[in-house]
Amino acid sequence: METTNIVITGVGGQGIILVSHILADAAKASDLSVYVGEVHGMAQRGGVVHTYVRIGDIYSSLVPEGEADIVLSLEMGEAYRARNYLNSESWVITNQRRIIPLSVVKGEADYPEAEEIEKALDGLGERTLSVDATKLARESGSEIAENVVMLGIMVATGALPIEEETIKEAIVDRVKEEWKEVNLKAFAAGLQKGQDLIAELEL
Amino acid sequence: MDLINGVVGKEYLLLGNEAVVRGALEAGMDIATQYPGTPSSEIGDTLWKIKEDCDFYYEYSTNEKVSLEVAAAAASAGARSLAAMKHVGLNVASDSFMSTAYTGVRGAMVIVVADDPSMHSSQNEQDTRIYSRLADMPMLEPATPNEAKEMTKEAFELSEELGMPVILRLTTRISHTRGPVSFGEIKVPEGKKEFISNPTKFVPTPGNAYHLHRELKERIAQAKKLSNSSELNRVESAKGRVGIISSSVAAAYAREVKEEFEQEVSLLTLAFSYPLPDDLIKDFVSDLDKVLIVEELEPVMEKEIRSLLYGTGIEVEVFGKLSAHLPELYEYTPKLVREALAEVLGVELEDSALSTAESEVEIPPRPPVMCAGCPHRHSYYAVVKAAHACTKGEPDPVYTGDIGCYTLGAAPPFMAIDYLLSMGSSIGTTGGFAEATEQKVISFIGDSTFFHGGLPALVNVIHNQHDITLVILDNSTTAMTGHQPHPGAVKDGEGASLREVSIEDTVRGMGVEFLEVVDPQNIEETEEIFKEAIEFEGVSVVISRAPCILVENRFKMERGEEIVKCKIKEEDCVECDVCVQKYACPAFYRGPDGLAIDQALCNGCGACQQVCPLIDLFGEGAIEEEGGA
Repeated sequence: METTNIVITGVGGQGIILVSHILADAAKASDLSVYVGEVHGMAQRGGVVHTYVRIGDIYSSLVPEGEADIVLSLEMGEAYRARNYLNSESWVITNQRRIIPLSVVKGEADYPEAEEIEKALDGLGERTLSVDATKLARESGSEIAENVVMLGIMVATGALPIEEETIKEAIVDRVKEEWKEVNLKAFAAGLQKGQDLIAELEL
Repeated sequence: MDLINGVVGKEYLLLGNEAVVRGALEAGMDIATQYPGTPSSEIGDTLWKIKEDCDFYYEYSTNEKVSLEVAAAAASAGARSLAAMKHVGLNVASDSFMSTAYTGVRGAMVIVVADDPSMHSSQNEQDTRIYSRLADMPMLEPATPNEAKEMTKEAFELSEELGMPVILRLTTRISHTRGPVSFGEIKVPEGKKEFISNPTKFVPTPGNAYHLHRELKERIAQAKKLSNSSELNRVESAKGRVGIISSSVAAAYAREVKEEFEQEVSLLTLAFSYPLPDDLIKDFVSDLDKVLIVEELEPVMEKEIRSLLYGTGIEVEVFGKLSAHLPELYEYTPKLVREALAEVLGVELEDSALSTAESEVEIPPRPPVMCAGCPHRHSYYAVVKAAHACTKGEPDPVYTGDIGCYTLGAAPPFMAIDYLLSMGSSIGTTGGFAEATEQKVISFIGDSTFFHGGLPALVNVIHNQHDITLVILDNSTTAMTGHQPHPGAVKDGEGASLREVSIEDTVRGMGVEFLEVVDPQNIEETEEIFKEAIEFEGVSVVISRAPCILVENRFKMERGEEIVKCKIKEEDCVECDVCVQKYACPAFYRGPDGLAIDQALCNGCGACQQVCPLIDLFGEGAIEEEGGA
C-alpha cells in the first residue's frame, strides 16, 4: 500500500507529540502499520520540535527530505523552516501563530512578518492552508487546543488514510475527561475551516 | 497500562525504549539498573513506573559504572539482569564493563547501550560497536521497536547460553521511534538466587585473568558459530547481482528503498552483528558483483568485511564509506541510502524535493533555552555579576561547566561555561586551570551530576588545595532527562525504600571550609554570597538550591494552588532591556508599549522583580491546566 508521510512541527510545548500520538492511535485502530519518530531531551527546551508519523508499508520513522505528503506546523515560521520535506504535491498546513524567539526580542535577529512568511509559503506550492488555529481554539474553549484544530484541518485535506470518526475516538481516548468537549469542538472547527478553505482555493 | 496488562498476541504501539522493557519482562528479568541519559532514559523511567506492579528490582544508580556493577554482580549470582545507558555512559562504566567480559556471568546480563548519531542530545557520536570489539562482547542490533523487544529477549537467552554479558545496541531513531510491537507471555522472575563463590572466575587477579582471557576467546569463537547460524541475521535473496549488507536502523532504510528500484537487490541484515558471521557473509556475497555496506557512524563492518574477503578469491566489489559512497558522520536517512544504492546500481535519480536554495524569508534559529522561571538563570545571573565585581582589572575568570539543563549557561548572555569534557569534569578540570593560570576558577555542577561524577574530583580539589569556587546547582531532580530522582532528592512516598544523601553533609564531611547554601530566587543575597566565595582563598562551595520550576508548578497544580504570574507596568517601561539582555527570561516580549511578559510562558517565579522594579506579581492569571491535547 501507499505510504503516507507526515511531518508535524512547531515549538516545544505546543502539543506536537500529542498530535502525533492521536494520529498514530487512529492509524493503529484502522489496522494500518504506523511508525512515529519522536523528539525527547534537550531539544524540547523551547527549541524546534518536529515529529514524524509514517503510515503504510514501512519499517522506520524518519520522513525523507522531499517526501512529506503533509507538513503540519503549529507555528508559521516553522512551517517554512520545514520546507526541505516538501515536494510539488505536498500539503502545507500552518497555524498563523508566530512565536518570537528571545534572540529577536533582544534585537539580534529579525522575524519576518506573517504576510512575508505566507507569501514565501505560497511560493512553495499550490496546496498551502494557512489558518489562525489559535483563534479557533480560543473560540472552542481553550487556546491550548490549537493542535487539535490543526488535526481537523489535516483531516479536511482527505490526504489521510484514516476515517474522521476514528480520529475523534483517538482524541477522546487521549485527553482528560474535562477537556474532551473543548477538544472535539476544536477538531470540528478545524475540519470546517479546512473544508471551507479547500473549497475556496479550489484545491 | 498496556505495557504490563496488554493481551498476548496483540500488537501495541510502543516506543523502542518501552519495547526493551516489555522484552525484559517476557524474559523474566530479575534486576535492572540505569543512570538516565538521552536517548536511553525511557527504559529506566518505564521500569520505575511499573516496578510496584511487577516482581523485578529496579534502581536508578548513581552512575553508569555503579549501575553496571549492580547488574553484573546480580548476574554472577545467577539472576537475569539488565543495565541501560547512553553511549557515553558506557565510557563511565567501561572499567568494570571490560572485566565482565572476562569474568562472564552465571545467570544472564544484557547491557543496553543507546548511541546518538547526529548528537541530538550528546557531546559526541561515538560508535558502541567498537566497544563490542574492544571487550569481545557479543552484540545484537535491532532496527525497529518490535525487534528491540524480540532481541532483548534473545539477548537474555544468548547471554545465558554463552555465560557472558550481551550488548543490545540501540540508536536514537530506535529508542525514540514508536511502532507496532507484538506481545508475548510475561515470565515471572524465579526469585532470589544463591551466589556460589568461584574466585578463579570472578576475581580477575593477573593469574586468573591470564586464563580468563583464553576462556573469553573460546566463548567468542562459540558466539561466532551462533551468529553464523542465527535467525536474527536475515538473508533476503533476489535475482540481481547487487546486494546490501546492513544493520540497525540503517537496515530498515535499506529494506524500504531497495524496493523502489527496477533491479532486484539482495539484502543481508545483520542483527547479531558481533562476532560478525563470516561464513554467512562470504556465502551472501559469493553470488554478487557488487555489495553496498550500509551502517551509520564508523565503517566497522565495512573494514571487517573487506579484510574478511581479502585473499578468498571472492570477486565482489565492496562499496560504502571507504569508497566515499556514504558518510562517516551523522545519522543516515532513507534518502541517503537511496542515493548510495542508485550510484552503485548506476541509476539516475529524479529528485522530487523542491528547490529551496533561494530562501524567500529568513527564519531565525530557535536554540533551546532555560525555561522561564528556571532557578539556574538566577544562579548564573548572580554569579556572573559577582565574578565581574571580584575580577575588576584582572583577566576574566575561567568557568568550567557540566552536563544537564544548566549547560545552557554556556549560551549568551551568561557565557559562563568555558570548558566541558564529560559528566563531572567541571570539578576535575578546575585543578588544571587553578595551577596553570592566575585566573579565578568558577565551576558549575548539577545535583545529580555531582553524585554521578563530581565526588572523587571534589576530593582531589580539597586534597590538593586548589583555589577554586564550586557552585552546586541543586534543583532537586535530574531535570534534563525527564525529572528522575537522585541520591540527594527523594520524592514524597519514596522514603521507605530510599534514603536521601545530603549534599551539604557530604561536602562538609570532605572538609570544605567555606560552605554556604543559598536560595537563588533571592538574587541579591546570592550575589553577595558568591562574592565572598570567589574572594575566599582555597576551596569554596556554594549550594544554590531551588526546585526545578516545572516540577514545583506541577506540584502546585496537584495541590490546587494558584500560580501567580508576573506583569510589567508596560506604560512605565523605558526599554533599558536588562530583563532581556542580561537576565534573558524567554517569557519577555516586546509589546506595543514596551517590554511585556507573556502570561502563557511565565512560570511565576517572581525573581525578575529583583531585575526590574516595574515588575509585580499578580493573582488573577493562574496557569490553566493543560487542556489541549
